[in-house]
Amino acid sequence: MNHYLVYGLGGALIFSIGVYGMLARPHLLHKVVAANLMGSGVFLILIGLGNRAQGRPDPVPQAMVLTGIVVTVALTALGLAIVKRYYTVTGLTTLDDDPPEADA
Amino acid sequence: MSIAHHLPALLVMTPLAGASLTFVTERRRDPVVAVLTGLTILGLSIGLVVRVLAVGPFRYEIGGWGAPVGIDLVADGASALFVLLSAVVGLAVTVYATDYFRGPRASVYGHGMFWTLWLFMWTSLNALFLTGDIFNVYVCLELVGISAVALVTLNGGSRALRAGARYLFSSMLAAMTYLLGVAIVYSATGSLDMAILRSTLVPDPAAATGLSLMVAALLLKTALVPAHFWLPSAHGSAPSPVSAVLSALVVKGSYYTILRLMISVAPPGFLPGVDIVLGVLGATAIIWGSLQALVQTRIKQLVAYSTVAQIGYLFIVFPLARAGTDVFLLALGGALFHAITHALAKSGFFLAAGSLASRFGYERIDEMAGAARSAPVLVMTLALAGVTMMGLPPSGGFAAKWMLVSAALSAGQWWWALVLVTGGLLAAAYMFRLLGVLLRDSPAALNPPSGAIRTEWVPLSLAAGAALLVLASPLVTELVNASVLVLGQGVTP
Repeated sequence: MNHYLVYGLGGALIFSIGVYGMLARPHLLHKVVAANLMGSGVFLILIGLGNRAQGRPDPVPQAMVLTGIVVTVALTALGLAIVKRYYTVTGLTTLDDDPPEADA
Repeated sequence: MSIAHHLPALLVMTPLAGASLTFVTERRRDPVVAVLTGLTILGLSIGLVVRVLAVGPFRYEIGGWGAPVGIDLVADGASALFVLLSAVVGLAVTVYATDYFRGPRASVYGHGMFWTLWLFMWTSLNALFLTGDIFNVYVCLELVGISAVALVTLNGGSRALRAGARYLFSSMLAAMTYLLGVAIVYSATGSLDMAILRSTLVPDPAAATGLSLMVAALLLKTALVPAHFWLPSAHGSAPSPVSAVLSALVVKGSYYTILRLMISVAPPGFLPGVDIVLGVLGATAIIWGSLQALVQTRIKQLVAYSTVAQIGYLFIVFPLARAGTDVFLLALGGALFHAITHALAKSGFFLAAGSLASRFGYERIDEMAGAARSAPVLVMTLALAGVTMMGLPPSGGFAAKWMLVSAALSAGQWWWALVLVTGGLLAAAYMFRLLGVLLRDSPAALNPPSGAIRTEWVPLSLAAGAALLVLASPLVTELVNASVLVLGQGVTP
């Protein structure tokens, strides 16, 4: 067991927690956080397992993680904006309860 | 190096420039910028098709770096075909939208943000069709997803926000799963470029797991049953031009990537059983989506469930892909032909349904009786698009289904043919139910049409294009044959 594997397994664990949160937690803010957890899990795996070039750091996974962080930030911002607006309009924090059907 | 070599990059840069321009120009100039951008993209796409037909597939190294360090764009028959399709549908939708987002709607719908978001989406769709790098696919998918979700929620109403939130969360789940797949594939192979992967991928449980995760994530993005739960609300509650683009192009983007991964990246037998699973899910989608379309009460929901069903047809190609070269070529031609026909017919259908709903002031099908007399062009459009979706000759839908059915029969897998034919009959059932109401002879009180050319004749041209697509089949066949899907290792000898 080398230390890369720690990153890999840790990342997989965090990713799984994120998946559970996305699927099982109804609160929309929990879902946004869960999506970020999934992302962090993948980033750990990328950094941990991306050691292809022997003896020196592999720049490609680092570039992927940086890009991934930027994308996740954008997704999170959009998600928070939508959740906030949804709460303002309907007073709800989950998608499960049926709001009064307002005709568009 | 001629300017024609730079076409793939120009096809991404042009809509990006248009989108950025809409930030700085006056709001009322946005439609002009968008239409000019659309015309330019159409010209560039035709140039790309001509170029691919002349020189065959070619790679474009962004910034001159080249894979494996840089990111390459790949222009081949299939990508040129989808870029041209987006250009045609995109331009039609843009012209339609110049009328749709006028007057009071302009301020209600996100204060005119439609144009910027739509051109950003066009940028990322073109990039998605042209990229040859699996991580770049992730970025493009996310950019498409972000702009698509924002477009769905444009009017800020509770129904749109619910649909947008559901769309966003399924999109996030898919994105992160896809990225996990990319991470695993990269750690197993050390490569992100599709062509390099195609030549270096060896049977290996890690790489197979990564690739399966990527395909599973893309299925969620493509809304293949049972991952379709987000689609009807998102496509049904978005503004009509947005619904048209989502149904016609956005689901095709992720489908196109599945095609590339399953057929040209994965060597034969690399993912045993996955092709059968995709076929079975496709067949389920055809039946389930059509049955759901049959019981919908709102016109746009009906169209959205019809999309769920029509997506199923695209997946019948996978179980047929390993059944010999001839069968594979026939099935692939059928699937791509179906993707194009569906894009044209469904965008025409959504736009016409949207115009009809604005003229009635509501979307309930049962109360749309008598529409044929007051809005004949719109009902004609719905009927033409319906003919294509049923697969009646001589429409493009007929040609596509004919190719898929022949491929299934030649492969000796008659059960797919049975599903395809049943799907056609069910499509006829839900279309006739809708048309039966619209053609009923009763007085209807409709609002006067606004800009009849843009709201009625543009959708009609799309639907007519789909119905007459058979005429374009030699071009499609030639482009399919000039694609990496065929030239790569996907074809078993």
